[in-house]
Amino acid sequence: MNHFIGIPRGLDFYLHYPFWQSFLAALGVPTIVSPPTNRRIVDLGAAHAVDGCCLPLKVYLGHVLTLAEQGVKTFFVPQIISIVRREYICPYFLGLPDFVAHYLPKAGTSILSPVVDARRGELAAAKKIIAFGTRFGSWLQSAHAYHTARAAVPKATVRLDQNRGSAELKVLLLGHRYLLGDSFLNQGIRDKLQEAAVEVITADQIPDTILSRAAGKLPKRVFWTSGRQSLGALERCLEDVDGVITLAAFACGPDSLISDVIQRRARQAGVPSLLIYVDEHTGQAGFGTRIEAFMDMLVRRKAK
Amino acid sequence: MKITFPHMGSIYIPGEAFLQELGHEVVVPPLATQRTLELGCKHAPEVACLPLKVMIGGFLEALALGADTVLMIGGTGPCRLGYYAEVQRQILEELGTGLDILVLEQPFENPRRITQDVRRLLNRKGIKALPRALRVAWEKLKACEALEETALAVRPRERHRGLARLALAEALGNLRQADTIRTIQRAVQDGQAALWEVADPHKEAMLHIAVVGEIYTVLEPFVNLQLEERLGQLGVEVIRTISVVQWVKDHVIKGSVGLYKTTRLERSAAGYLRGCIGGHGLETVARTNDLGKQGVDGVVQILPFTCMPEVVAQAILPAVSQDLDLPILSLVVDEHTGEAGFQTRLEAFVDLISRREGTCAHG
Repeated sequence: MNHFIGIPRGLDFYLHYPFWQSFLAALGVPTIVSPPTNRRIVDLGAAHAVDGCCLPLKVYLGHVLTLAEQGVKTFFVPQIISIVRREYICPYFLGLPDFVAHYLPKAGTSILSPVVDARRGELAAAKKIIAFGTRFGSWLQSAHAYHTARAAVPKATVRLDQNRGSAELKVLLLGHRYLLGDSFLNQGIRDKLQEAAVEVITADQIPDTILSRAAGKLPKRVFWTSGRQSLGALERCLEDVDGVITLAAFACGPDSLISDVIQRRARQAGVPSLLIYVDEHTGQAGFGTRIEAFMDMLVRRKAK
Repeated sequence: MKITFPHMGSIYIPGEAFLQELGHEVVVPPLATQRTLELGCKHAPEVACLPLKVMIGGFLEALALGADTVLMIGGTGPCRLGYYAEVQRQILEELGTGLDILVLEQPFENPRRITQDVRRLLNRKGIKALPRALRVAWEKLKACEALEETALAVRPRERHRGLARLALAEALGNLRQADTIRTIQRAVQDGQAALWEVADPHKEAMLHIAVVGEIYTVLEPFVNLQLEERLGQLGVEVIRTISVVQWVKDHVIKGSVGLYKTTRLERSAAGYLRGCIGGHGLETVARTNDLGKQGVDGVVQILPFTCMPEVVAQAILPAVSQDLDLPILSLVVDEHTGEAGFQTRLEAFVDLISRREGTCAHG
């Protein structure tokens, strides 16, 4: 495992993994991804991380420590300053490599940390990523790897109108990608909804330009990418859906304000909205019951 | 237009003067109390950070005193403060308070709305009144900080416990009344003299402890449970690393023309944190490292629960502490923070440092 570069399955993984994977593969760098989140990883992260940080950050740390236990010496922890012009993800993404470094033994471990900074546009960001790649090959090879990796990124092309199926109920599911993508943290909410024959709409099914335009109508620009996408999706879909479910991470800064805005907006529009905060103590039973109760309510409401 | 604004330490003194110079009727909210906090917690999102809750409480108290407009600052992230005003606007609207909210932020954010808000601020006396209003507010801001700095030095040396607090309150009261540059300057001189009068010239401060952290919790005595005073009464001279004067110079004056650089801070934090993470996170790490090297006896970091930039700093500070052999105490405050536990932790921290230093701070 010594020469493998460990990629923790958390936070940025759910945003950019296909990109980084093909970028590093094109440069011939061997990588290993930590196992899917499980109870042990959550507990490991929660036991070590400083109290006030959010659940996904704790879990990320759990993944890093799990990789370390497997003998990984080099960790891939990008510093994501911004992925969309004039927007941020959150302060944790800005400080991620420095945060993680503190929990690893100083001797013998190292952190690979490309900087992603699209505050001044995508070209500037690309230059920095290519410069990062030059430590594994020439500039040309790195630029080529960047190009290959860009092509590997799946695009959100599922339009709403195409998605209109035969399902009786349509639910808008909002939340960070690293919550909606991690079926341990979200208790398999997608499967639960699909079993209930509900059509689930998420923000990543909608092209970002559409989300931007919809969010642009808000009185204040939302400077967190994920929050802007959630509010954009809400503005875009509120009239088409039967209900809104928001999954928020405990102690997440943006969520604490954005989820409040979502709840209020849905309330004003008369659309039922369920807000669930998840943390390391969230139990399966209570979670399932809340979803079921909400779905029952939607069904009864629709029948009226 | 009866205008109000949020409290943050003594910023209400320059704030009130600024708005009065522009010809507005100003409603300064009562100093924050437990009631303010309870009001705020009732209406703010449960998981929002503490400053938002206290501010909402303050706005509602000002409303009861007849205010109809709130002046807030905005921002562009990544810290939550930048989005406060929008959430506050929605909460106040949903409560049906009729409170209007004016937001000052970078002009390019939303030019039309900001021009509108600035116009409303200037509509009484016009732009002619602005230079003087800025000047008076600036002088008062500097005066407040000068008086508070003096109080930091006087507290560990005061003859009887509590004298410094009374002298500072009186000095700030006089400063608030002053309305010309000359009277402001006199208020500072007289206030500082009065403060030094309550100090015992034979007493020396036992320890020097720097306070770093999130700006609102550092500056607002209600939220930090009078941290500076508590430390002062334990015989500690507090070094305040956060200054509104500096913030205005950096972020408003230099920042508006793109001249504000964090290079120096980054150099100070090198090896621990590579750059800005929003709020005062970088400052916290950089200043702790600087002051530790300069030989300060200890550092207290204070932050609201779940404050993102400060949580990153909090995770990093133990490394600084270990490298410099410097005692650091991180205090997290929220609406459940109790006075007794807070005091005990401070006393234990000060005891620990004094034993290291081979002195005894109190008793």
